[in-house]
Amino acid sequence: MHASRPARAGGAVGGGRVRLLRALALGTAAYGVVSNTSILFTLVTPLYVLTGPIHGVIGIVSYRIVAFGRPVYPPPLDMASFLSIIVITSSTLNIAASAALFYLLIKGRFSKTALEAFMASSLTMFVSLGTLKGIRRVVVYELSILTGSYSHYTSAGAVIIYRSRAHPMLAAHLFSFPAYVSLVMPYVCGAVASYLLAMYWLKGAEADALGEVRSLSGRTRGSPAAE
Amino acid sequence: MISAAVLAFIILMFLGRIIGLPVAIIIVSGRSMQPTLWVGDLVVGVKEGFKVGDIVVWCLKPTFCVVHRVVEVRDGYIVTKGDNNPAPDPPVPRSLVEYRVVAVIPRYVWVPAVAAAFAAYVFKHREYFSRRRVATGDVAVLLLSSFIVFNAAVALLAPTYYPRGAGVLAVPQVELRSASLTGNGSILVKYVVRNTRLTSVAYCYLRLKGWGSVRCSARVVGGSEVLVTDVPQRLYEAMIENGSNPLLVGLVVNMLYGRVSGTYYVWCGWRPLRVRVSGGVVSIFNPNPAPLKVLIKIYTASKPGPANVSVEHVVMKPWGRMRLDLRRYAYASVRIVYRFRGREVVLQYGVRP
Repeated sequence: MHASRPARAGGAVGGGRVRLLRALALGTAAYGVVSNTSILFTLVTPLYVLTGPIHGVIGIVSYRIVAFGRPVYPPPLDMASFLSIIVITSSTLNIAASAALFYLLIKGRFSKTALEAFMASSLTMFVSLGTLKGIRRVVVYELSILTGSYSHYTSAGAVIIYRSRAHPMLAAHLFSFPAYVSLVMPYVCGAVASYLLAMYWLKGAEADALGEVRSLSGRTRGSPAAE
Repeated sequence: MISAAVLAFIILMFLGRIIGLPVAIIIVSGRSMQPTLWVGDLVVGVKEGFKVGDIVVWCLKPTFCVVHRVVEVRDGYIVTKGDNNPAPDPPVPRSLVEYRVVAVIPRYVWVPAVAAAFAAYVFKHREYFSRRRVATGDVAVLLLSSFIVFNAAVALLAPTYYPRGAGVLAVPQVELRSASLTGNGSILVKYVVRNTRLTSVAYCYLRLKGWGSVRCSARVVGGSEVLVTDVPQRLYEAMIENGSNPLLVGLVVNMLYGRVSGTYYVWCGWRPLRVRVSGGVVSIFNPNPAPLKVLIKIYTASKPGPANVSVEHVVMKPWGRMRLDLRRYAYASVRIVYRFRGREVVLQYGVRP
Protein backbone atom coordinates (compact mmCIF):
# COMPACT_ATOMS: atom_id res chain seq x y z
CA MET A 1 0.00 0.00 0.00
CA HIS A 2 1.44 3.31 -1.07
CA ALA A 3 1.00 5.86 1.69
CA SER A 4 2.25 9.40 1.77
CA ARG A 5 2.04 12.40 4.05
CA PRO A 6 -1.05 14.50 3.47
CA ALA A 7 0.63 17.80 4.21
CA ARG A 8 1.93 18.01 0.72
CA ALA A 9 -0.87 16.31 -1.12
CA GLY A 10 -4.19 17.07 0.43
CA GLY A 11 -2.94 19.97 2.43
CA ALA A 12 -1.77 21.77 -0.64
CA VAL A 13 -5.10 21.46 -2.46
CA GLY A 14 -8.19 23.09 -0.97
CA GLY A 15 -7.22 22.64 2.71
CA GLY A 16 -10.66 23.24 4.26
CA ARG A 17 -12.48 20.91 1.93
CA VAL A 18 -9.85 18.24 2.38
CA ARG A 19 -10.18 18.42 6.12
CA LEU A 20 -13.92 18.05 5.75
CA LEU A 21 -13.54 15.11 3.40
CA ARG A 22 -10.97 13.53 5.68
CA ALA A 23 -13.35 13.85 8.58
CA LEU A 24 -16.16 12.40 6.48
CA ALA A 25 -14.00 9.50 5.30
CA LEU A 26 -12.83 8.90 8.86
CA GLY A 27 -16.38 8.84 10.12
CA THR A 28 -17.68 6.57 7.39
CA ALA A 29 -14.69 4.27 7.80
CA ALA A 30 -15.48 3.96 11.50
CA TYR A 31 -19.14 3.43 10.62
CA GLY A 32 -18.08 0.79 8.10
CA VAL A 33 -16.15 -1.16 10.72
CA VAL A 34 -18.94 -0.98 13.29
CA SER A 35 -21.87 -1.60 10.97
CA ASN A 36 -20.21 -4.44 9.09
CA THR A 37 -19.16 -6.07 12.32
CA SER A 38 -22.80 -5.84 13.32
CA ILE A 39 -23.85 -7.31 9.98
CA LEU A 40 -21.48 -10.25 10.43
CA PHE A 41 -22.82 -10.65 13.96
CA THR A 42 -26.34 -10.69 12.52
CA LEU A 43 -25.34 -13.31 9.99
CA VAL A 44 -23.54 -15.75 12.22
CA THR A 45 -25.56 -15.57 15.41
CA PRO A 46 -29.09 -16.93 15.83
CA LEU A 47 -31.91 -14.59 14.90
CA TYR A 48 -34.71 -16.57 16.49
CA VAL A 49 -35.04 -19.46 18.88
CA LEU A 50 -38.10 -21.61 18.26
CA THR A 51 -39.87 -23.51 21.00
CA GLY A 52 -42.78 -25.88 20.68
CA PRO A 53 -43.49 -28.74 18.31
CA ILE A 54 -41.18 -27.05 15.84
CA HIS A 55 -38.11 -26.11 17.81
CA GLY A 56 -34.57 -25.09 17.09
CA VAL A 57 -32.46 -22.14 16.18
CA ILE A 58 -32.73 -20.04 13.04
CA GLY A 59 -29.87 -17.93 11.80
CA ILE A 60 -28.98 -16.71 8.36
CA VAL A 61 -25.76 -18.61 7.85
CA SER A 62 -26.89 -21.66 9.72
CA TYR A 63 -29.99 -23.15 11.29
CA ARG A 64 -31.15 -26.24 13.09
CA ILE A 65 -34.84 -27.03 13.12
CA VAL A 66 -36.60 -30.10 14.45
CA ALA A 67 -40.20 -30.22 13.34
CA PHE A 68 -42.48 -32.79 14.94
CA GLY A 69 -39.55 -34.87 16.05
CA ARG A 70 -37.64 -34.86 12.80
CA PRO A 71 -34.90 -32.51 11.58
CA VAL A 72 -36.02 -30.50 8.57
CA TYR A 73 -34.17 -28.43 6.01
CA PRO A 74 -36.46 -25.82 4.48
CA PRO A 75 -35.05 -24.86 1.06
CA PRO A 76 -35.64 -21.10 1.58
CA LEU A 77 -33.36 -21.18 4.61
CA ASP A 78 -30.77 -23.07 2.59
CA MET A 79 -31.10 -20.40 -0.07
CA ALA A 80 -30.66 -17.66 2.53
CA SER A 81 -27.60 -19.44 3.87
CA PHE A 82 -26.14 -19.78 0.40
CA LEU A 83 -26.81 -16.18 -0.59
CA SER A 84 -25.30 -14.90 2.65
CA ILE A 85 -21.91 -15.57 1.05
CA ILE A 86 -22.46 -12.33 -0.87
CA VAL A 87 -23.00 -10.33 2.30
CA ILE A 88 -20.17 -12.01 4.16
CA THR A 89 -17.73 -11.31 1.33
CA SER A 90 -18.79 -7.71 1.03
CA SER A 91 -18.79 -7.05 4.76
CA THR A 92 -15.41 -8.64 5.28
CA LEU A 93 -14.00 -6.58 2.43
CA ASN A 94 -15.52 -3.41 3.84
CA ILE A 95 -14.24 -4.08 7.35
CA ALA A 96 -10.72 -4.59 6.01
CA ALA A 97 -10.85 -1.51 3.77
CA SER A 98 -12.49 0.67 6.42
CA ALA A 99 -10.02 -0.39 9.11
CA ALA A 100 -7.06 0.24 6.82
CA LEU A 101 -8.34 3.64 5.77
CA PHE A 102 -9.23 4.57 9.33
CA TYR A 103 -5.73 3.63 10.49
CA LEU A 104 -4.03 5.59 7.73
CA LEU A 105 -6.20 8.66 8.23
CA ILE A 106 -5.58 8.63 11.97
CA LYS A 107 -1.87 8.38 11.24
CA GLY A 108 -2.22 11.36 8.94
CA ARG A 109 -1.42 9.44 5.79
CA PHE A 110 -3.09 9.10 2.44
CA SER A 111 -3.10 5.94 0.39
CA LYS A 112 -4.57 5.74 -3.08
CA THR A 113 -5.01 1.97 -2.76
CA ALA A 114 -6.80 2.28 0.57
CA LEU A 115 -9.08 5.01 -0.76
CA GLU A 116 -9.93 2.97 -3.83
CA ALA A 117 -10.52 -0.17 -1.81
CA PHE A 118 -12.75 1.74 0.59
CA MET A 119 -14.69 3.31 -2.25
CA ALA A 120 -15.15 -0.03 -4.03
CA SER A 121 -16.15 -1.84 -0.86
CA SER A 122 -18.59 0.95 0.00
CA LEU A 123 -20.19 0.52 -3.41
CA THR A 124 -20.46 -3.23 -2.90
CA MET A 125 -22.50 -2.50 0.21
CA PHE A 126 -25.34 -1.29 -2.04
CA VAL A 127 -25.77 -4.84 -3.29
CA SER A 128 -24.85 -6.42 0.00
CA LEU A 129 -27.36 -4.50 2.11
CA GLY A 130 -30.11 -5.13 -0.43
CA THR A 131 -29.28 -8.82 -0.37
CA LEU A 132 -29.23 -8.77 3.44
CA LYS A 133 -32.67 -7.24 3.59
CA GLY A 134 -33.94 -9.75 1.05
CA ILE A 135 -32.44 -12.65 2.99
CA ARG A 136 -33.94 -11.36 6.22
CA ARG A 137 -37.31 -11.13 4.54
CA VAL A 138 -37.00 -14.74 3.37
CA VAL A 139 -36.02 -15.88 6.86
CA VAL A 140 -38.84 -13.95 8.52
CA TYR A 141 -41.35 -15.27 5.99
CA GLU A 142 -40.15 -18.80 6.57
CA LEU A 143 -40.37 -18.20 10.29
CA SER A 144 -43.97 -17.09 9.92
CA ILE A 145 -44.69 -20.36 8.11
CA LEU A 146 -42.94 -22.45 10.73
CA THR A 147 -44.74 -20.74 13.58
CA GLY A 148 -48.04 -20.73 11.73
CA SER A 149 -51.02 -22.91 12.39
CA TYR A 150 -51.01 -26.49 11.18
CA SER A 151 -54.39 -27.31 12.67
CA HIS A 152 -56.86 -28.80 10.25
CA TYR A 153 -60.09 -30.74 10.01
CA THR A 154 -60.27 -34.35 8.97
CA SER A 155 -62.73 -37.20 9.35
CA ALA A 156 -61.40 -37.56 12.91
CA GLY A 157 -62.52 -34.04 13.75
CA ALA A 158 -60.42 -31.02 14.56
CA VAL A 159 -56.74 -31.93 14.61
CA ILE A 160 -55.26 -29.16 16.69
CA ILE A 161 -51.50 -28.84 16.41
CA TYR A 162 -49.85 -26.73 19.07
CA ARG A 163 -48.18 -23.65 17.68
CA SER A 164 -44.50 -22.95 18.04
CA ARG A 165 -43.21 -19.68 19.38
CA ALA A 166 -40.34 -17.65 18.02
CA HIS A 167 -38.18 -15.79 20.49
CA PRO A 168 -36.18 -13.04 18.78
CA MET A 169 -32.55 -12.76 19.77
CA LEU A 170 -30.39 -9.65 19.78
CA ALA A 171 -29.37 -10.12 16.16
CA ALA A 172 -33.01 -10.10 15.10
CA HIS A 173 -33.36 -6.50 16.19
CA LEU A 174 -30.29 -5.27 14.34
CA PHE A 175 -30.99 -3.86 10.89
CA SER A 176 -34.64 -4.76 11.13
CA PHE A 177 -36.13 -1.29 11.36
CA PRO A 178 -34.00 1.14 9.34
CA ALA A 179 -34.93 1.68 5.72
CA TYR A 180 -32.55 0.57 3.04
CA VAL A 181 -31.74 4.18 2.15
CA SER A 182 -30.70 5.09 5.67
CA LEU A 183 -28.40 2.07 5.82
CA VAL A 184 -26.83 2.81 2.49
CA MET A 185 -26.43 6.57 2.91
CA PRO A 186 -23.22 6.46 5.01
CA TYR A 187 -21.63 4.23 2.39
CA VAL A 188 -22.61 6.71 -0.31
CA CYS A 189 -20.95 9.46 1.72
CA GLY A 190 -17.91 7.29 2.29
CA ALA A 191 -17.59 6.41 -1.38
CA VAL A 192 -17.94 10.04 -2.46
CA ALA A 193 -15.54 11.29 0.21
CA SER A 194 -12.90 8.70 -0.63
CA TYR A 195 -13.31 9.39 -4.34
CA LEU A 196 -12.88 13.13 -3.86
CA LEU A 197 -9.98 12.60 -1.48
CA ALA A 198 -8.30 10.41 -4.07
CA MET A 199 -8.85 13.08 -6.67
CA TYR A 200 -7.40 15.76 -4.40
CA TRP A 201 -4.51 13.49 -3.58
CA LEU A 202 -3.83 12.99 -7.27
CA LYS A 203 -4.09 16.69 -7.97
CA GLY A 204 -1.78 17.44 -5.06
CA ALA A 205 0.71 14.84 -6.17
CA GLU A 206 0.66 16.15 -9.69
CA ALA A 207 1.05 19.70 -8.44
CA ASP A 208 3.95 18.70 -6.22
CA ALA A 209 5.56 16.86 -9.06
CA LEU A 210 5.05 19.83 -11.32
CA GLY A 211 6.51 22.18 -8.70
CA GLU A 212 9.57 20.01 -8.32
CA VAL A 213 10.08 19.93 -12.06
CA ARG A 214 9.73 23.70 -12.26
CA SER A 215 12.10 24.29 -9.36
CA LEU A 216 14.61 22.00 -10.98
CA SER A 217 14.37 24.00 -14.16
CA GLY A 218 15.21 27.20 -12.20
CA ARG A 219 11.84 28.92 -12.28
CA THR A 220 10.90 30.68 -9.07
CA ARG A 221 7.16 30.56 -8.71
CA GLY A 222 4.93 29.66 -5.81
CA SER A 223 3.58 26.23 -5.53
CA PRO A 224 0.95 25.66 -8.23
CA ALA A 225 -0.90 23.61 -5.77
CA ALA A 226 -1.64 26.76 -3.81
CA GLU A 227 -4.08 28.01 -6.43
CA MET B 1 -5.48 -20.74 -25.45
CA ILE B 2 -6.30 -24.21 -24.13
CA SER B 3 -6.95 -22.86 -20.66
CA ALA B 4 -9.28 -20.21 -22.11
CA ALA B 5 -11.15 -22.90 -24.03
CA VAL B 6 -11.47 -25.07 -20.90
CA LEU B 7 -12.69 -22.07 -18.92
CA ALA B 8 -15.23 -21.20 -21.62
CA PHE B 9 -16.46 -24.81 -21.67
CA ILE B 10 -16.88 -24.86 -17.89
CA ILE B 11 -18.74 -21.54 -17.93
CA LEU B 12 -20.96 -22.88 -20.72
CA MET B 13 -21.73 -25.97 -18.64
CA PHE B 14 -22.68 -23.83 -15.68
CA LEU B 15 -24.90 -21.69 -17.84
CA GLY B 16 -26.33 -24.78 -19.54
CA ARG B 17 -29.33 -24.88 -17.22
CA ILE B 18 -30.16 -21.27 -17.88
CA ILE B 19 -29.83 -21.38 -21.65
CA GLY B 20 -31.21 -24.91 -21.93
CA LEU B 21 -28.23 -26.96 -23.09
CA PRO B 22 -28.54 -30.78 -23.15
CA VAL B 23 -25.87 -31.02 -20.44
CA ALA B 24 -25.49 -28.76 -17.44
CA ILE B 25 -23.59 -28.47 -14.19
CA ILE B 26 -25.47 -27.39 -11.12
CA ILE B 27 -24.28 -26.50 -7.64
CA VAL B 28 -26.09 -28.11 -4.75
CA SER B 29 -27.04 -25.40 -2.30
CA GLY B 30 -29.34 -27.15 0.17
CA ARG B 31 -29.13 -29.91 2.75
CA SER B 32 -32.27 -31.73 1.70
CA MET B 33 -30.39 -34.43 -0.22
CA GLN B 34 -27.84 -35.30 2.43
CA PRO B 35 -26.05 -37.65 2.65
CA THR B 36 -26.26 -38.29 -1.10
CA LEU B 37 -25.51 -34.70 -2.04
CA TRP B 38 -23.85 -32.09 0.15
CA VAL B 39 -23.91 -28.33 -0.07
CA GLY B 40 -21.32 -27.25 -2.62
CA ASP B 41 -21.27 -30.50 -4.58
CA LEU B 42 -21.56 -30.23 -8.34
CA VAL B 43 -24.03 -32.41 -10.20
CA VAL B 44 -23.92 -33.13 -13.89
CA GLY B 45 -27.36 -33.29 -15.45
CA VAL B 46 -28.35 -34.52 -18.90
CA LYS B 47 -31.65 -34.11 -20.69
CA GLU B 48 -32.90 -37.69 -20.87
CA GLY B 49 -35.58 -39.96 -19.50
CA PHE B 50 -35.86 -40.79 -15.83
CA LYS B 51 -37.54 -43.32 -13.62
CA VAL B 52 -38.44 -43.72 -9.98
CA GLY B 53 -35.28 -43.62 -7.89
CA ASP B 54 -33.37 -41.26 -10.18
CA ILE B 55 -32.25 -37.85 -8.99
CA VAL B 56 -33.65 -35.16 -11.24
CA VAL B 57 -33.46 -31.39 -11.55
CA TRP B 58 -36.85 -29.74 -11.93
CA CYS B 59 -37.14 -26.02 -12.38
CA LEU B 60 -39.97 -23.58 -11.87
CA LYS B 61 -37.82 -20.94 -13.53
CA PRO B 62 -34.39 -21.26 -15.15
CA THR B 63 -32.79 -19.90 -12.00
CA PHE B 64 -35.07 -21.64 -9.48
CA CYS B 65 -34.56 -25.38 -9.47
CA VAL B 66 -34.78 -28.33 -7.12
CA VAL B 67 -32.46 -31.35 -7.14
CA HIS B 68 -34.42 -34.21 -5.58
CA ARG B 69 -35.08 -37.90 -6.03
CA VAL B 70 -38.13 -39.16 -7.93
CA VAL B 71 -40.38 -41.25 -5.68
CA GLU B 72 -43.47 -41.50 -7.86
CA VAL B 73 -44.44 -40.96 -11.48
CA ARG B 74 -48.11 -40.77 -12.47
CA ASP B 75 -50.26 -39.23 -15.18
CA GLY B 76 -47.99 -36.45 -16.26
CA TYR B 77 -46.95 -35.61 -12.72
CA ILE B 78 -43.99 -36.60 -10.63
CA VAL B 79 -43.44 -36.59 -6.91
CA THR B 80 -39.92 -35.93 -5.68
CA LYS B 81 -38.42 -36.05 -2.23
CA GLY B 82 -35.18 -34.93 -0.69
CA ASP B 83 -33.39 -37.91 0.85
CA ASN B 84 -33.06 -35.92 4.05
CA ASN B 85 -36.62 -34.60 4.07
CA PRO B 86 -39.30 -36.29 6.13
CA ALA B 87 -42.00 -35.65 3.55
CA PRO B 88 -42.15 -35.58 -0.25
CA ASP B 89 -42.52 -32.42 -2.29
CA PRO B 90 -45.88 -31.49 -3.77
CA PRO B 91 -46.44 -33.13 -7.19
CA VAL B 92 -45.07 -31.14 -10.11
CA PRO B 93 -45.76 -31.53 -13.83
CA ARG B 94 -43.41 -33.91 -15.53
CA SER B 95 -42.58 -31.21 -18.05
CA LEU B 96 -40.75 -29.23 -15.36
CA VAL B 97 -38.03 -31.87 -15.14
CA GLU B 98 -35.00 -30.48 -16.92
CA TYR B 99 -32.22 -32.94 -16.21
CA ARG B 100 -31.44 -36.33 -14.82
CA VAL B 101 -28.37 -36.33 -12.60
CA VAL B 102 -25.77 -38.69 -14.02
CA ALA B 103 -22.66 -37.71 -12.07
CA VAL B 104 -21.67 -35.96 -8.89
CA ILE B 105 -18.44 -34.05 -8.34
CA PRO B 106 -17.98 -33.75 -4.56
CA ARG B 107 -16.95 -30.40 -3.18
CA TYR B 108 -13.79 -31.87 -1.66
CA VAL B 109 -12.70 -32.71 -5.20
CA TRP B 110 -13.59 -29.66 -7.24
CA VAL B 111 -12.87 -26.89 -4.73
CA PRO B 112 -9.18 -27.87 -4.19
CA ALA B 113 -8.84 -28.52 -7.92
CA VAL B 114 -10.07 -25.04 -8.82
CA ALA B 115 -7.90 -23.46 -6.12
CA ALA B 116 -4.87 -25.36 -7.38
CA ALA B 117 -5.58 -24.34 -10.98
CA PHE B 118 -5.89 -20.68 -9.95
CA ALA B 119 -2.66 -20.86 -7.93
CA ALA B 120 -0.89 -22.48 -10.85
CA TYR B 121 -2.13 -19.76 -13.18
CA VAL B 122 -0.88 -17.00 -10.86
CA PHE B 123 2.44 -18.79 -10.38
CA LYS B 124 2.89 -19.20 -14.10
CA HIS B 125 2.25 -15.52 -14.72
CA ARG B 126 4.03 -14.25 -11.60
CA GLU B 127 6.45 -12.11 -13.57
CA TYR B 128 3.60 -10.34 -15.31
CA PHE B 129 1.89 -9.62 -11.99
CA SER B 130 5.12 -8.46 -10.31
CA ARG B 131 6.02 -6.09 -13.17
CA ARG B 132 2.57 -4.67 -13.58
CA ARG B 133 2.24 -1.13 -12.21
CA VAL B 134 -0.97 -0.48 -10.38
CA ALA B 135 -2.65 2.40 -12.19
CA THR B 136 -5.22 4.73 -10.67
CA GLY B 137 -8.57 3.03 -10.43
CA ASP B 138 -7.20 -0.51 -10.91
CA VAL B 139 -7.92 -1.55 -7.34
CA ALA B 140 -11.46 -0.22 -7.38
CA VAL B 141 -12.25 -1.72 -10.77
CA LEU B 142 -10.76 -5.10 -9.80
CA LEU B 143 -12.69 -5.25 -6.54
CA LEU B 144 -15.97 -4.18 -8.05
CA SER B 145 -15.73 -6.43 -11.09
CA SER B 146 -14.71 -9.42 -8.93
CA PHE B 147 -17.64 -8.74 -6.64
CA ILE B 148 -20.09 -8.49 -9.51
CA VAL B 149 -18.87 -11.72 -11.13
CA PHE B 150 -18.93 -13.50 -7.79
CA ASN B 151 -22.45 -12.31 -7.03
CA ALA B 152 -23.69 -13.27 -10.46
CA ALA B 153 -22.20 -16.73 -10.06
CA VAL B 154 -23.75 -17.22 -6.63
CA ALA B 155 -27.16 -15.87 -7.62
CA LEU B 156 -27.43 -17.71 -10.92
CA LEU B 157 -25.83 -21.04 -10.20
CA ALA B 158 -27.40 -21.92 -6.89
CA PRO B 159 -30.53 -23.89 -7.79
CA THR B 160 -32.43 -23.22 -4.65
CA TYR B 161 -35.99 -22.10 -4.63
CA TYR B 162 -39.16 -23.37 -3.14
CA PRO B 163 -42.61 -21.86 -3.18
CA ARG B 164 -43.37 -22.77 0.40
CA GLY B 165 -41.16 -24.19 3.07
CA ALA B 166 -43.86 -26.08 4.90
CA GLY B 167 -43.89 -28.66 2.12
CA VAL B 168 -41.04 -30.48 3.78
CA LEU B 169 -42.69 -30.75 7.18
CA ALA B 170 -44.19 -34.01 8.37
CA VAL B 171 -47.29 -32.46 9.90
CA PRO B 172 -49.19 -34.84 12.21
CA GLN B 173 -52.23 -36.33 10.50
CA VAL B 174 -55.09 -38.10 12.22
CA GLU B 175 -58.08 -39.52 10.39
CA LEU B 176 -60.94 -41.72 11.51
CA ARG B 177 -60.89 -45.31 10.39
CA SER B 178 -63.90 -46.69 12.26
CA ALA B 179 -65.99 -46.39 15.39
CA SER B 180 -67.85 -49.51 16.46
CA LEU B 181 -69.03 -51.59 19.38
CA THR B 182 -66.81 -54.40 20.54
CA GLY B 183 -67.76 -57.78 21.92
CA ASN B 184 -67.74 -56.72 25.53
CA GLY B 185 -69.86 -53.64 25.02
CA SER B 186 -66.99 -51.19 24.76
CA ILE B 187 -66.64 -48.79 21.88
CA LEU B 188 -63.48 -48.93 19.84
CA VAL B 189 -62.53 -45.85 17.85
CA LYS B 190 -59.77 -46.57 15.35
CA TYR B 191 -57.71 -43.81 13.80
CA VAL B 192 -55.21 -43.60 10.99
CA VAL B 193 -52.32 -41.76 12.62
CA ARG B 194 -49.29 -40.41 10.80
CA ASN B 195 -46.28 -38.49 12.14
CA THR B 196 -47.57 -38.59 15.71
CA ARG B 197 -49.16 -40.93 18.21
CA LEU B 198 -52.07 -40.71 20.56
CA THR B 199 -51.08 -40.45 24.20
CA SER B 200 -54.13 -40.07 26.43
CA VAL B 201 -57.80 -39.22 26.46
CA ALA B 202 -58.60 -35.82 27.90
CA TYR B 203 -62.37 -35.99 27.70
CA CYS B 204 -65.01 -38.51 26.74
CA TYR B 205 -68.78 -38.26 26.54
CA LEU B 206 -71.66 -40.17 25.05
CA ARG B 207 -74.82 -38.66 23.72
CA LEU B 208 -78.05 -40.38 22.88
CA LYS B 209 -81.25 -38.83 21.69
CA GLY B 210 -83.44 -38.22 24.71
CA TRP B 211 -80.61 -38.86 27.17
CA GLY B 212 -78.37 -35.84 26.92
CA SER B 213 -74.67 -36.26 27.52
CA VAL B 214 -73.12 -38.93 29.69
CA ARG B 215 -69.49 -38.88 30.79
CA CYS B 216 -67.45 -41.92 29.97
CA SER B 217 -63.91 -43.03 30.48
CA ALA B 218 -61.58 -44.10 27.74
CA ARG B 219 -57.98 -44.99 27.18
CA VAL B 220 -55.57 -45.10 24.29
CA VAL B 221 -54.61 -48.50 22.97
CA GLY B 222 -51.52 -48.92 20.86
CA GLY B 223 -51.07 -45.28 19.94
CA SER B 224 -53.77 -45.22 17.28
CA GLU B 225 -56.94 -46.54 18.89
CA VAL B 226 -59.18 -45.36 21.68
CA LEU B 227 -61.24 -47.77 23.73
CA VAL B 228 -64.27 -46.33 25.48
CA THR B 229 -64.77 -48.73 28.35
CA ASP B 230 -67.42 -47.85 30.86
CA VAL B 231 -70.43 -47.22 28.67
CA PRO B 232 -73.35 -47.15 31.08
CA GLN B 233 -75.41 -50.29 30.66
CA ARG B 234 -78.63 -48.35 31.00
CA LEU B 235 -77.67 -46.52 27.85
CA TYR B 236 -77.44 -49.73 25.89
CA GLU B 237 -80.62 -51.01 27.41
CA ALA B 238 -82.34 -47.84 26.39
CA MET B 239 -80.95 -48.16 22.90
CA ILE B 240 -82.11 -51.73 22.46
CA GLU B 241 -85.46 -51.21 24.11
CA ASN B 242 -86.26 -47.97 22.32
CA GLY B 243 -84.38 -48.62 19.13
CA SER B 244 -82.38 -45.40 19.54
CA ASN B 245 -79.61 -45.04 17.03
CA PRO B 246 -76.91 -43.86 16.61
CA LEU B 247 -74.91 -43.34 19.73
CA LEU B 248 -72.72 -40.27 19.58
CA VAL B 249 -69.22 -40.57 21.07
CA GLY B 250 -67.32 -37.39 21.75
CA LEU B 251 -63.60 -37.63 22.37
CA VAL B 252 -60.80 -35.18 23.04
CA VAL B 253 -57.61 -37.16 22.62
CA ASN B 254 -54.17 -35.85 23.45
CA MET B 255 -51.42 -36.68 21.04
CA LEU B 256 -47.82 -35.70 20.53
CA TYR B 257 -47.73 -32.05 19.42
CA GLY B 258 -51.47 -31.48 19.81
CA ARG B 259 -54.89 -32.99 20.31
CA VAL B 260 -57.79 -34.35 18.32
CA SER B 261 -61.33 -33.38 19.11
CA GLY B 262 -64.17 -35.13 17.35
CA THR B 263 -67.60 -36.70 17.66
CA TYR B 264 -68.29 -40.03 16.06
CA TYR B 265 -71.51 -41.86 15.30
CA VAL B 266 -71.66 -45.45 16.44
CA TRP B 267 -74.42 -47.30 14.64
CA CYS B 268 -75.71 -50.32 16.49
CA GLY B 269 -77.38 -53.00 14.38
CA TRP B 270 -79.62 -54.44 17.08
CA ARG B 271 -80.92 -57.93 16.39
CA PRO B 272 -83.53 -60.01 18.23
CA LEU B 273 -82.56 -62.90 20.49
CA ARG B 274 -81.92 -66.20 18.79
CA VAL B 275 -83.69 -69.07 20.54
CA ARG B 276 -83.29 -72.71 19.61
CA VAL B 277 -85.08 -75.63 21.18
CA SER B 278 -83.68 -79.06 20.68
CA GLY B 279 -84.11 -82.28 22.67
CA GLY B 280 -85.39 -80.61 25.81
CA VAL B 281 -82.69 -77.97 25.78
CA VAL B 282 -83.41 -74.29 25.15
CA SER B 283 -80.47 -72.25 23.84
CA ILE B 284 -80.71 -68.47 23.93
CA PHE B 285 -78.17 -66.30 22.19
CA ASN B 286 -77.86 -62.55 22.43
CA PRO B 287 -76.41 -61.51 19.03
CA ASN B 288 -75.97 -57.91 20.11
CA PRO B 289 -72.81 -56.27 21.28
CA ALA B 290 -74.71 -54.95 24.24
CA PRO B 291 -76.37 -56.52 27.25
CA LEU B 292 -80.08 -57.29 27.02
CA LYS B 293 -82.55 -57.60 29.88
CA VAL B 294 -84.69 -60.68 29.49
CA LEU B 295 -87.54 -62.10 31.51
CA ILE B 296 -87.69 -65.89 31.32
CA LYS B 297 -90.70 -67.81 32.58
CA ILE B 298 -90.37 -71.56 32.73
CA TYR B 299 -93.44 -73.74 33.07
CA THR B 300 -92.72 -77.28 34.14
CA ALA B 301 -94.81 -80.31 35.16
CA SER B 302 -94.18 -84.03 35.67
CA LYS B 303 -97.69 -85.01 34.72
CA PRO B 304 -100.69 -83.33 33.11
CA GLY B 305 -102.18 -80.73 35.40
CA PRO B 306 -101.07 -77.53 37.07
CA ALA B 307 -97.51 -76.51 36.24
CA ASN B 308 -94.77 -75.01 38.33
CA VAL B 309 -93.74 -71.57 37.20
CA SER B 310 -90.31 -70.10 37.75
CA VAL B 311 -89.49 -66.54 36.78
CA GLU B 312 -86.00 -65.39 36.11
CA HIS B 313 -84.72 -61.90 35.27
CA VAL B 314 -81.56 -62.26 33.31
CA VAL B 315 -79.17 -59.79 31.77
CA MET B 316 -77.78 -61.47 28.72
CA LYS B 317 -74.21 -60.37 28.16
CA PRO B 318 -73.15 -59.13 24.73
CA TRP B 319 -72.91 -62.17 22.51
CA GLY B 320 -73.82 -64.14 25.57
CA ARG B 321 -75.39 -67.58 25.51
CA MET B 322 -77.74 -69.24 27.91
CA ARG B 323 -78.73 -72.84 28.09
CA LEU B 324 -81.88 -74.17 29.84
CA ASP B 325 -81.87 -77.91 30.30
CA LEU B 326 -85.46 -79.07 30.74
CA ARG B 327 -85.00 -82.71 29.83
CA ARG B 328 -85.87 -83.94 33.28
CA TYR B 329 -89.42 -82.60 33.03
CA ALA B 330 -92.10 -84.48 31.25
CA TYR B 331 -93.78 -81.30 30.24
CA ALA B 332 -92.12 -77.92 29.89
CA SER B 333 -92.53 -74.67 28.09
CA VAL B 334 -90.58 -71.44 28.09
CA ARG B 335 -91.77 -67.86 27.68
CA ILE B 336 -89.16 -65.27 26.93
CA VAL B 337 -90.05 -61.60 27.18
CA TYR B 338 -87.88 -58.60 26.39
CA ARG B 339 -88.20 -55.11 25.02
CA PHE B 340 -86.75 -54.59 21.62
CA ARG B 341 -86.78 -51.48 19.43
CA GLY B 342 -89.60 -49.87 21.31
CA ARG B 343 -91.90 -52.85 21.58
CA GLU B 344 -92.26 -55.90 23.79
CA VAL B 345 -91.25 -59.17 22.23
CA VAL B 346 -92.79 -62.35 23.60
CA LEU B 347 -91.49 -65.74 22.57
CA GLN B 348 -93.21 -68.93 23.64
CA TYR B 349 -91.74 -72.36 23.14
CA GLY B 350 -93.10 -75.71 24.09
CA VAL B 351 -90.38 -78.10 25.10
CA ARG B 352 -90.97 -81.81 24.62
CA PRO B 353 -88.21 -84.06 25.82
